[in-house]
Amino acid sequence: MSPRDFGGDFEELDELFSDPEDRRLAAILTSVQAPEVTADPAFRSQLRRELMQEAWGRSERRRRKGGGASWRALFTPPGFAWAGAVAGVVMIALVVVALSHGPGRDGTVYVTYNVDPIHPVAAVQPIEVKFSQPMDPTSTQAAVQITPATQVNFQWTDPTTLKITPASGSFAPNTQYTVNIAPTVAKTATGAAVPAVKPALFTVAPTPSPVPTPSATPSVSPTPPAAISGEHQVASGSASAMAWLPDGSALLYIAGDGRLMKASASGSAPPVAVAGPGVLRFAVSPDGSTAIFASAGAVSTVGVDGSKPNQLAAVATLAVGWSADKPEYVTDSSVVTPTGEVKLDHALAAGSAVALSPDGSRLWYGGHVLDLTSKKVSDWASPPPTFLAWSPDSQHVLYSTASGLALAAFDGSSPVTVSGSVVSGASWSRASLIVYSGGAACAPSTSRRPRRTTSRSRPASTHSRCWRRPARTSPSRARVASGRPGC
Amino acid sequence: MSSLPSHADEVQLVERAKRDPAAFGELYDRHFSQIYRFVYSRVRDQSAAEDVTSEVFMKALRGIGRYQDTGRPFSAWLYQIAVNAVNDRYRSQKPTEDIDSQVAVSDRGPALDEVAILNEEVRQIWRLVETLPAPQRAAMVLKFQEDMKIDDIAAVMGKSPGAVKLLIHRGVTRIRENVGAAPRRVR
Repeated sequence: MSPRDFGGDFEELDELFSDPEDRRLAAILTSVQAPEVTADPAFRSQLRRELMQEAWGRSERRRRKGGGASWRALFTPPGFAWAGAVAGVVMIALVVVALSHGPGRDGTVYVTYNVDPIHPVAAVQPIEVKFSQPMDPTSTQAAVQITPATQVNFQWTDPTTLKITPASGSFAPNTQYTVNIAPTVAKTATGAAVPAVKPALFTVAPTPSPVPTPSATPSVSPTPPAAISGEHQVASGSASAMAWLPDGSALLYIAGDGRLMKASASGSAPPVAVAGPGVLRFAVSPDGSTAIFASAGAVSTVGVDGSKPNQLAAVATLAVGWSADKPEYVTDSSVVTPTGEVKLDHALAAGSAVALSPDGSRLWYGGHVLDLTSKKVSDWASPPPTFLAWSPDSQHVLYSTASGLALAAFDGSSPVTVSGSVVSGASWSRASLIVYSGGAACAPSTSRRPRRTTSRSRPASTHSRCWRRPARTSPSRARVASGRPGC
Repeated sequence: MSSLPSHADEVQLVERAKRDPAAFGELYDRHFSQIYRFVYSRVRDQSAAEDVTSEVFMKALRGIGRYQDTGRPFSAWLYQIAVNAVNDRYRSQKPTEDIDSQVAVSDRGPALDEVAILNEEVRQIWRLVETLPAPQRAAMVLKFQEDMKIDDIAAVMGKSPGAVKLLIHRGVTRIRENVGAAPRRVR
């Protein structure tokens, strides 16, 4: 919180409030900022990327549509006279074009790419070329020119979409590439030659370092991501948080409308509402029978089948969890445990990074770890690193720094850098560790919606760059669930 | 507070953004933080704030072709989309907080030094702002947190300036009634 200048609107306040006490309160509200909130940089850049893709797509469509509009304008009354005058010239021009460019029907093919000059792409990201009409694969592949020269593989995902992947598996890091479609070489499915189209220019980001595999002390693993198959949808709509029941039979998630939902892993039955709307966060009890959940001004428990809702307190919370089989929650000034309230040494601002350990025995809050049993506070280095996850045994903290991914004991001792990867989040269970990087390698989409909640029949135990938010591995490692932004 | 571009510059940029994706990107860079902060202040959850912020900018992108300058800041239009997006998200949710219970909560806490006491008071006040009915809360946040003029807030909320003044006045009065001891003056 910091004092700030007010933009000269004290007159408005004077006009609003005749009571001096009201004026004084208004002055306090005006002169001191509410607790500062900073968005996740990974989210900010991801959203920008999606907006830019959408914007360029719209721009391209508008350009096409604009051509049609001009043509139609010729037939409006003012333009009709001119149309007759220029018709002869146009017809002559068409004959010339037909003779010099072959038998194209509409003569125009538009091309869009999933890359742009502004945003670096991952070395392993395929380049996707989208044509405005079905293409002849052989001639189109022959027309593709890549600079610097690169051996590539081609894959057509549909008659209009060509995916280009480097034969070596990755493009060269820190290198600028150009993809061009040679004029008149590529042909449409109907045999029309494609004239010059705009090339794609993009830069490959530095090679990401290997990511850790799950263990008590993660180590560097160069293993590529496991292939994923058997994906099936268990619920429609968005999901902002997820947790498996301990037996892996179902998962709970917060739907886009703020309701806490339960979906069976098999997807055999439609999801059912457990609580809400207005659910902000939740945690499932170790025995899987109950969930603790928080809304804007209350914390409650409810059976995972929606039975026995019970409000524990009318209080805003920053985190909820379980200590053994008893609910536990964190307010801005204390932790309410089954054995009593433990005061924090300083009040927390809204949006503070707060995380209860899996066993409910410790709390990470802004670079401090509070042992809820001994009441002892361990102070980490300042400024604190970015918290990513507690280890399943609650003994270690996984965190990210400017130099990469690191692990330390809960009190900050014995730090070990385990990877140079830039990681924005993690989900660490006894089954697996999944780290995610803000969707850098996610196939771009033109819109974030609809987002699907899916379960996958094989675990991606190493990592996935496709998920912006944590994916969750089921206890048996049989499935991974992810609410994903359409990638 | 950083200096802002002139209204004329902004109008030019918005006009370019109707055709040029790069210009829209510049608008995004300029306004992302304030919109995210406003949305977060309403939903109090990072994940929800991200979803709503995404929706706001996607809607802005799709609707910018229809945007017309009315002399108000471009941000007022974005706030308007944000207010509607938040309302849509929680349309079925009624305010459930009891101001008295919030005061009781804020009364807990360790002894604090002078600065901490002031900070705690401000926090307490902002917590109380969050418990106000949605229209009062939105008007208070736009006025006191985002420094907007009454007329602009009125445009954002689709209300008359008089109605906005009433919302703010009632909000402040209600907070003062519940804040307990009179807050200290900030210097």
